[in-house]
Amino acid sequence: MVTVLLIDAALAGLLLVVVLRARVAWRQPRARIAWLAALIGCIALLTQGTVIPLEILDGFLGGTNVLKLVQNVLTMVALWLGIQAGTAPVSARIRTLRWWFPGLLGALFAVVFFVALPERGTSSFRFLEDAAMTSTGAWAYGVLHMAGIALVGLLLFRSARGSLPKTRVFFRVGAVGIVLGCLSEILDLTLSRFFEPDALVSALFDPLFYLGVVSFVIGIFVASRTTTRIRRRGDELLARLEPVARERGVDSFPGLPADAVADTRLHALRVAVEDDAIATSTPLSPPQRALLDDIDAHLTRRTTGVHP
Amino acid sequence: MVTEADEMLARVQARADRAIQRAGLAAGMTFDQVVHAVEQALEIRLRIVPETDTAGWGTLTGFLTYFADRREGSIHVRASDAAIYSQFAASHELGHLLDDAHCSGALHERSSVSPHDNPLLTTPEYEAELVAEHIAHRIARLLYTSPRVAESSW
Repeated sequence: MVTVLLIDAALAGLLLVVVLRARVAWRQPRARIAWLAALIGCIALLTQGTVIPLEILDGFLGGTNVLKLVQNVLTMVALWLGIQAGTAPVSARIRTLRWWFPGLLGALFAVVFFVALPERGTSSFRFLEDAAMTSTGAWAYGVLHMAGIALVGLLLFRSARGSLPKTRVFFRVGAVGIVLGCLSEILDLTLSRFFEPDALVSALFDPLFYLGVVSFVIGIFVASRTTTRIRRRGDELLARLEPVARERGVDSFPGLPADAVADTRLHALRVAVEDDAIATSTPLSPPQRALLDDIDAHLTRRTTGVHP
Repeated sequence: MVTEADEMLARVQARADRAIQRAGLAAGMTFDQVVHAVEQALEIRLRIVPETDTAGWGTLTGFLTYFADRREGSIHVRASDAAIYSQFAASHELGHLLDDAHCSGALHERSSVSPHDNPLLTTPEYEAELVAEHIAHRIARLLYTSPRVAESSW
């Protein structure tokens, strides 16, 4: 029951991302990487069978637990796309990503899955855990795919370096949960196969992994909220600077592109206002100087956003 | 109908395009990296000098001294100016250096008075000042107003 709740909480969070970020993804090609990560994450969680019965989904694939392989590959790809969302250049697009990495890892999962597990029985939620009690092949596949996902989780942790500060905390906690969940599963499979199963170790994966996903989802919402606030702050600063420019009779640089973003117009007008103060020997008042300082802090933000 | 002003603007923008390409300037660079890229592209050495004694500068916000024989130059800006503004003034001088016509007697000074409002400039000087100003604005866009990865991700 707890497992179902955890899976559904993670699924609901990712579904929210897919729905709420669809418009941004439609308009901004760069945002489609993150959106696709959330969508594939949703599909991976759906294959757990908490919403649509496992037997039906696995039945489409022959009813021999191939769904488990699909789930593992989708999970790995979703996490990898999460890394790309945070690290790929602004100009990156889904098709320009280095797909060879998840391609190779996915192919490795598939080869080991079919070679090590020729007899897989009928559809079951605990198919791998049960098979690993007696089958070294099942244990080998279980360890391999969990190690693969743990590796991607580690890269995910590292990729959080470039995130906005509050987001970074949630992403890192999420990545730690995912990695520890995978390691606990490797330990659990090993104990079950070669030693005595341990109930505590068996119970660790679900809370660690799925709460990790939930933490990541929270980080996504924090990131989009912070980005919106930074954009609004730029608009507000421009709205405060325009009356100052009007009052001084200052025109902005006439050569800006017609589709210049607010920050570009803000910078050009800020320079024009300071030019005017020097050219006419009429220094800026303290509030005007403070406004320019705020504008400079906004424009020189790196990933931190200065006052996010 | 294409006016003379339109033709000049097209020429200015083409010169600015070539200047940015010449130095391989790209979004995400820091100001120091931009200066370094200009040094490498032109095979010169450059110093940015913040001047403290600028009481007599009047409307001047920055100027360039360049010694072609030594392949080195220095860009002088007002130390009292905000970093964004003095970097903009310095970028204007980088614009003169990167411009096709940088050896053809451009002023190598940036005034806070817009070239549009300066009747003393000859036509080639006026065009060269416009080019430098366009390049400075383009450098500013690369430095401060290009999309940031962290704000484009989620």
